Amino acid sequence: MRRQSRSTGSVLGGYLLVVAALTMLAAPAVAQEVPDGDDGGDVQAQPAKPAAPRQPAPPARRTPPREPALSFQGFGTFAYTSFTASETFNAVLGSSSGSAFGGGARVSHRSGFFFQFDLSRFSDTGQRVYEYQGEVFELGIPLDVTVTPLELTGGYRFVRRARATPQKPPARTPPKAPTKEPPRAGAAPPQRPAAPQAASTRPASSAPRRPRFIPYAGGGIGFVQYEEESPFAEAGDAVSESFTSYHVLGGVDVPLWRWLGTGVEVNYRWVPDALGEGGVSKAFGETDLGGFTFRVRVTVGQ
Amino acid sequence: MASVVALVVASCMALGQAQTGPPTKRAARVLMDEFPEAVDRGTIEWPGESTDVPDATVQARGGTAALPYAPGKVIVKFRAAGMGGSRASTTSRTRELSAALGRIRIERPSHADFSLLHFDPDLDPEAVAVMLAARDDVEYAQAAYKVRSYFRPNDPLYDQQWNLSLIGMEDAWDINEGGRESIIVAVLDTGVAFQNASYAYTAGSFTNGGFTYPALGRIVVPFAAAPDLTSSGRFVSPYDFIYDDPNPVDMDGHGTHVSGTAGQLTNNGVGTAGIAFKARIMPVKCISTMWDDIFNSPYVGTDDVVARAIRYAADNGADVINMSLGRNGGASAPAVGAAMRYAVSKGAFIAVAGGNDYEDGNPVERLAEQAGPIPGAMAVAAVGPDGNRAPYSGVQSYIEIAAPGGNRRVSSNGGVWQQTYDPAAVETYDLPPSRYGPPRFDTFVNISYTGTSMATPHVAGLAALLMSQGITTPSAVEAAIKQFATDKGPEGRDDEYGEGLINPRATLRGLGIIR
Repeated sequence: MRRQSRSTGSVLGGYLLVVAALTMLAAPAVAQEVPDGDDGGDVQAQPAKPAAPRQPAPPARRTPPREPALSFQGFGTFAYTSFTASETFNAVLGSSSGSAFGGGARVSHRSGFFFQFDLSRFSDTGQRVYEYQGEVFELGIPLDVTVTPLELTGGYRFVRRARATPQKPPARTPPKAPTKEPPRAGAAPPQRPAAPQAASTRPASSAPRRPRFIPYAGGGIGFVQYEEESPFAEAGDAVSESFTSYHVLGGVDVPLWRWLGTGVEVNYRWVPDALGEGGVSKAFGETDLGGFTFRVRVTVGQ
Repeated sequence: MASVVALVVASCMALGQAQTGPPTKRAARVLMDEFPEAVDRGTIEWPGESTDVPDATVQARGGTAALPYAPGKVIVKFRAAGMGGSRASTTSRTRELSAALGRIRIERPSHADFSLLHFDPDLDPEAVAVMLAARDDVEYAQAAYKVRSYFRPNDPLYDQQWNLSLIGMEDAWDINEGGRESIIVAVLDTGVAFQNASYAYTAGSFTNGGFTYPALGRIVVPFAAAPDLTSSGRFVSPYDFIYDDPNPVDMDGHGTHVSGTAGQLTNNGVGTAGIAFKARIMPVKCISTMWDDIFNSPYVGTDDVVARAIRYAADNGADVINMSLGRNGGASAPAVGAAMRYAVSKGAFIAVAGGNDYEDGNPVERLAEQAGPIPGAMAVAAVGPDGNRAPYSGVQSYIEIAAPGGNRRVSSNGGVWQQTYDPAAVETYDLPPSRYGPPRFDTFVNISYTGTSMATPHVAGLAALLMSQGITTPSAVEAAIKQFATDKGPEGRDDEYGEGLINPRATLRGLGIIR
């Protein structure tokens, strides 16, 4: 368990480095994906040029692609859980935290609301113990613990859509003072400086710009399947029970490429009255099987 | 023999009256060059108590420990669709099984051509297997019967040791097979048959049962180590507080019998089994018996001697102290109580006999009384083969736990078997004076005794197993024994059983997170 904890840290660190690198690499890609034409978000407005006497007709403007009403994502998660019943888990597993793996799916609405389910699995092997007056005696009998939470979450993604920021018109060259010279014969009449091009002043396209980070928050209900097995068991010794859980979560999605993203999430889960009826959790007076979970995830889908 | 301890103590206290003529000094004991060989005379039934009620049921295994299969799963082989069985799809089959069994999980383990069907552990796997086997799509189904390494001693008299099966020792040995050599169990008793030796004594005349027995003069008495108790390095730091020397030879057999229950060599194809058979034994003689009195030992088993013996054991590394002894006359025993607290503070757990005189007025056992309030020292009551309190076992507020002590009234095999001296070779003082002669302490039999003396080493043996398992403080050992005891009598603690009958398997297995 302790070894797992250490490796978890290094894995997590590696993951974050990879994510950071991918994010940096992804940024230009995002920009490159901006539809050409009128999505001016990343396009520098050009200084207005004097209109040519015969300006060619501007190209037909494309209608920006409309975001679908629902989008679907599947994801796999790597999680690190710290149990609320820290004394109990520490006594049996040697640590009150550990890694978990899982996955799930999310349905997001254009409005930002989403619904997701997430199934993960924490599993570790410790040993049976005896507790007396706060002292824990390790008995050397293996104990396999499996915690499998299924969470149903409703929440909101704070999608920041790029909006047109009125762009400064290009610095105008002060019009030259009209010459008093009479127009020469055959010469064209003096022209007014061309107005800034419409493209540089109209709102940017309403088509969504792919943001670098999408925060989200939510909460919901779930079920936690808890299993406990160890040798020398007789009838009634093995534990396989499920409990209702409640949770809140918050996180950030990090789109990487069109169909691929990553993200991190913090989740707090309550599983009241799951523990404390027996075992060492009763000795410690700990009743909640929940805890904090930090997740990183890899998302596939739009 | 129902009250061996009472007899021993009474004989000690009545020394002045029992011995006639001028007090004789004990002759110096001389270690002889030639040691007598131990003689094993097999098995005899000690007639002791009534055997009027022979039909008691002896449980094969204790409580739920009897279940022979893993709960919550069966082994099942489903027929492949289209091979003569049901063509029901896996999905529909799962749905059907879920409807019948509730939530299920079907696992296909590696290296197997069968599946494991997991379900509610409260369901009977054998019944589930029968139900499954009746399905067309099932080739076979069976409960997951245990085939674990299943320690069952090969000692020939093990089958008669109902006391070990009553408390589920086979399951306990699966967890901890007899403890460790590093654990030392001190047996504070009449001594232990721990060495081959001969010693010379002067036997004066005495009266017993209305007879006057003649002086035997200077005699050489042979001793032998009990064959089923002795192995290389088995005994550590022996001491005799009755003769004040390091040779605590047993002149009664009581201490040897008690030592056997705590730690008789086991699975050696000889005699009987003991609980912590890998632990080492510290023989400490602190109670004197009839022959000690006849030989006019310099000390008798009084509170001060017992207190010194307790401190000696603690100072010499005892992890567990077995005290199958007591007294029920006089005032309380603060010196013994202080010694117990000292020993516990040094890390020794103490088990003390709760007393055998319930039917004689249920007097207060003064030593057990001291153990009651000390965390780490336990006063022990006795139960018979039926698991109920033995009629002699004291009923007192200081009783903390119960263990098998025997009851011949509920079974013809109601005593606790162990190897010790052949009474016929020892108790010549109970014969008519014409047949009275020197004792031999080199002749062994397997014999059953009853009493809280016999119950106490069950607790001491369990404590030794617990200490070798990892519960290393006496107070925690006591708490664990109490916590996992099988409640008997009125719910919760009571004066007959204390917290209940010891449950070695559950105690050794300890706690998980939820269970």
